[in-house]
Amino acid sequence: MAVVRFEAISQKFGEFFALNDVSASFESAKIHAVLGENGAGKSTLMKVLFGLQKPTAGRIEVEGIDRKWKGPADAIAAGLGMVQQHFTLVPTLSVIDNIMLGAESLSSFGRLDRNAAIIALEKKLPSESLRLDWHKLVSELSVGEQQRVEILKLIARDAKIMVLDEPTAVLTPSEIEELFHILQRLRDSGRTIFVITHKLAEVFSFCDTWLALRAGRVGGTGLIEGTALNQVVRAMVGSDVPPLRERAVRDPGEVFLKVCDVRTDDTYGVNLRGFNIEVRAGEVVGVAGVDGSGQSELVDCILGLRTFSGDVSVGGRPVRLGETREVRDTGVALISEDRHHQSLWLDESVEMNAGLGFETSFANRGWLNVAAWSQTVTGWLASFDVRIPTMQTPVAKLSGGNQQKLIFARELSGRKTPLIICHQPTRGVDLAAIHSIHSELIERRDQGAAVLLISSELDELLALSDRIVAISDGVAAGEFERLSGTMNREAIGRAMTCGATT
Amino acid sequence: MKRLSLFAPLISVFIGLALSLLLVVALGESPILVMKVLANGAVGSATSFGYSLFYATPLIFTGLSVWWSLRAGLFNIGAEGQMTVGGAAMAVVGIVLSSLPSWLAWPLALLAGFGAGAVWGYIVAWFKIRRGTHELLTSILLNFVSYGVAGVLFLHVFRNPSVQTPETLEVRERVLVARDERDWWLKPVECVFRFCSALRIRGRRGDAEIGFGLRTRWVGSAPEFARRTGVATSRQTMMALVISGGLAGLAGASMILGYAHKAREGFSSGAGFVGIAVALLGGRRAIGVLLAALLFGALQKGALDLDLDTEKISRDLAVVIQALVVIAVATKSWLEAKRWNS
Amino acid sequence: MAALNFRILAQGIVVGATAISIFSGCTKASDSNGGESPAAKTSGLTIGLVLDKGGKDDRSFNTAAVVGSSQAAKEFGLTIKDVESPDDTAFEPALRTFAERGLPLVIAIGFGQADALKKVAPQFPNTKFAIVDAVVEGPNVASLMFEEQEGSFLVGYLAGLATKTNAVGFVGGMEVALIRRFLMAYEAGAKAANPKVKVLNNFVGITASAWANPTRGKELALSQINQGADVIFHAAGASGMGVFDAAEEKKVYAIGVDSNQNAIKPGRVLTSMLKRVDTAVYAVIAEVVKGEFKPGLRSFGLKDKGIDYAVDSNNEAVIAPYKSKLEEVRAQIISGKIVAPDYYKSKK
Repeated sequence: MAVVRFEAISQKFGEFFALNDVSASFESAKIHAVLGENGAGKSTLMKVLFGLQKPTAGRIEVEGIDRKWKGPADAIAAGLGMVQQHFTLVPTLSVIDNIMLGAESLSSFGRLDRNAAIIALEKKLPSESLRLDWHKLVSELSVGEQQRVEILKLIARDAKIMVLDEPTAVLTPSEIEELFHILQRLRDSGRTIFVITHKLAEVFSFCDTWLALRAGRVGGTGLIEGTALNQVVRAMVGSDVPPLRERAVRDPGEVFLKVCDVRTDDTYGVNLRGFNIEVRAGEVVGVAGVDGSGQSELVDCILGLRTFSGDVSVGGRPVRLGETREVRDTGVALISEDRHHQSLWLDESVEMNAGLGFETSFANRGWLNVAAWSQTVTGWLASFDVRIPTMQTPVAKLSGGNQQKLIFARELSGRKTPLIICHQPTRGVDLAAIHSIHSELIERRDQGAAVLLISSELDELLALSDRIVAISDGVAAGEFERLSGTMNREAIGRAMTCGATT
Repeated sequence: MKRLSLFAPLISVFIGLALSLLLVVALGESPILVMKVLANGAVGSATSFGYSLFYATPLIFTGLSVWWSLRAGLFNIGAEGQMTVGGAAMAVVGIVLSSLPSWLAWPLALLAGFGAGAVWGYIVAWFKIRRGTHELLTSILLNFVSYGVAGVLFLHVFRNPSVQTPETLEVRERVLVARDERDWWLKPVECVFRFCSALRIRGRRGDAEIGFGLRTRWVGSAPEFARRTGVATSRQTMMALVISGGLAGLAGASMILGYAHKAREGFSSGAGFVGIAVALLGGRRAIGVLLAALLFGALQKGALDLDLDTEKISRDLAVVIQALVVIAVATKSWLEAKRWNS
Repeated sequence: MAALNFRILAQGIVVGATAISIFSGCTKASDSNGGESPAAKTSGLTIGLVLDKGGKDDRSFNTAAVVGSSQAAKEFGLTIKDVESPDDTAFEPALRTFAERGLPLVIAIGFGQADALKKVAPQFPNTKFAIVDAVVEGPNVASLMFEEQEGSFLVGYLAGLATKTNAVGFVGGMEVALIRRFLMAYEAGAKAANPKVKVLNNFVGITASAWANPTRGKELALSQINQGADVIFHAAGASGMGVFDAAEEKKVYAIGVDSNQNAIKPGRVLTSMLKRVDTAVYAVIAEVVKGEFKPGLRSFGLKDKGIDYAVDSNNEAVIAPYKSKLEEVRAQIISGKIVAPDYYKSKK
């Protein structure tokens, strides 16, 4: 029986259709995967369901009743709940206080009765595995546990339909597994779960049905059982993605990047605690780890942006603090983690962004030669197939994929780049762009570039790397090689979560 | 390279003016009369226009000073103090260097003014880079230091003992920028126009600029990006504050080397603070700052006559108009920011 | 986005500051030009008044000028236009604007306008100018000066008579020659009355802000009281308010200056040395109306009541024991029997 039905839902923003005539129905007590690339409309559809957005046209039916939400409060009252990608917890309050926040039914006589709340909540738990230390502060919880608090909030409010927006983006492989086990328990207790995601591996392991959106329309839908991966990809992208370029067999060359026993000493945040890694010419070395295990610090050390002890050398030249320019000039292409802040000047034009960093080569006695600048970067962008309205468009208006391609074009065209540092190169990037970025990296590797690939997407690392170093709490927690066959998902996942076991 | 016409600031000016005139109406005075008085007082005669330019000149410099710091993502609100030390330095050079020939003396005096303001800017930069102290704090606090330093010079070292007012001795004639009564305002304004056109960017689309200026803006708008590309961000910050301070240091030139021929305690009379408003109204372009300064200068001059020619409105209306114009500018960019964020 | 937020912060601060100035601007705008007199019969003449930075509501110097001119306006049927100057740079255009409009007389209040007047006066030979507290030469300029030393000597004499501790105090505002002139004569007066008397003196500061720092004024007065002073004369503008507070707190006497300040702390203010700017302004206007304007230096002293000391219901009781002696000294100064030392002349 269909618990949620969308009928011809359209959502227009100005002239743009975020959703265009979407119809779908979902059975109760199932885990439904809602798939799609960035901007395909999957988040919009869930917002419509949750009353955060009023559809321009169409009908929503929940439990057989026609619904016209005035706002999320209506949806919550009708038994819906949503876990946002960014948690809405108060870190300085305890778990139970966070769960009670905003749920008036749990307080009596205007007084917070924690014990009563805990008893009431424990009665509702479908599984012991959801239990937490109720009195612990949220700030002391791991990310996975914080997410569980968000789910508990929905349970406390008797949500029968739960929507989770990209729930696995911040989790380790074992946490992901744990999350889906919890979701399966919730499903078994009769709840309906929607998971917004773009990670197909999880969908195929844990979900019951899938709905793929493409450019605001339904690209395809069905049961997971009996569906091939390719079919889902085609529904999302609209065409088959060609297989990744075969890597050439080649022996790695000289060590180009060497990081030896590097330690950082910061009062706040994560520290590297004796990290080692080497990248040779002609190989891709992946760094696998949960976000915030020291990856950003590693990049900062290599660029000379942070004080450290130990040795870092790039192209045989030792890196010292403040010599970022010198490091970059030895031929380092840098794809930074936070594209908007670390790689782009958002309100400036495409033309400007595509040439920044090379302004001295366009200067004549201090004055910039705009014509030369424009002509050169136009060529760069063309060779990387960056699609732009005009050269004067603010770069903020480009899609994530085009922004990232622009950054690749700039970083790889302006000079010879024997070392490419990629930090989360495909985060928030559409599948087609991911494919071309991956192909580019393989091609560069084959041509002899050393590639340091830092990612929290294990699939990406497994697909591209010749070697993978797992990082956990600032130390190298294991090294895995493609050729010797030690590169397997479980072992890497264990190393990045449990630290060095060997 | 976003294009921003002069249209947007003009709207702000109109909104500010309209609101002020509503206030005038509420107080029972004729807005037409007020506008007539303002216009006549500001540009009604050659002398009036000259005074308007005279009032505008320090604002041009302090406006450019704040503008330059904003470009670098910094907010130097200490132009008042930088102007004070700059003026003190010019006066000291003007008093001490009596034997130099004129063509050397007055540029030296200007250089000293720039230098003193720049030192003030450097102190702000030093605290920001080395100690992480926000420039808002240091730049405003240094104002008080500058009053102290200038006070010692004006009242003890170079004090003119024969007058009651706290002021220095007269600057030697050969150091003066303008000696003729009639052109004392022209010279500084001319200098400023030259300076602005040097900053202005020529090129195919009028968008080219000097690499240094580009890097200043880059560090200001996308600091992390610049840092990771290898731009020495602290040096850019330092240079931006030094230049900003130096520009403010020049603001006293028209007063000291052009008009009063001496430095007086409190000669800055708030030009450093009005400069903040000028920079915000002026927007992205130097020419905008120039026009904003001219507008505010004309307002100051025009409003003097309000005391005389209207029953109920005083010259404080100028401040009210300036304030409302700035609020209009701020509201506009706030709305834009809101739209951008959502 | 950080840069954007930053800009908003910046603008927020400016908006805050400007909003405050709007409100202060409004209030001023609403009560402006109250000084314009509703002349009963207009003789057609308009007199211009350029006030000093304190503004017409300073209850002292500028207020006195407005009072004097208003009285003249009433009597002779004139119109008075006044302008307050925000800063030094506004003096010259204000004087010039008045002159350009063909006003017969323009009066500049305060020594700060001397430079501006020196520039403007020669360019308008048909306009008559007067300046208070400064000497500007010119065939069309009258300089209205006060013999502050006469009054200071007189109140110093009073202080010398009144002290029980043989110590009196003086709190000056900004350390300038004018205030030194007060001090020198005050000291001489006190010593003349009581040769054993010790005269303590302090200045609030060396900048213009010294006129407006009552906290510091009180601090200095208290310190003088601690050293034994039981009569304190102030010549410190608004900073003098602190001196009155200290006198009330420690039960000693204060002496006011410029205007009649007896009512500020009734019973604790021995008297106020009056500097009748209103009299001087009235006099010069009267001359112009009658066509008897004389350029050059004009001195106002005890003789013509341009300098005086205040007696009213607030201080009648406290000043009574010394009144006859004071009148005697006043007569002697006027007749030239006693010469109060003048700091200006002693310097030359």
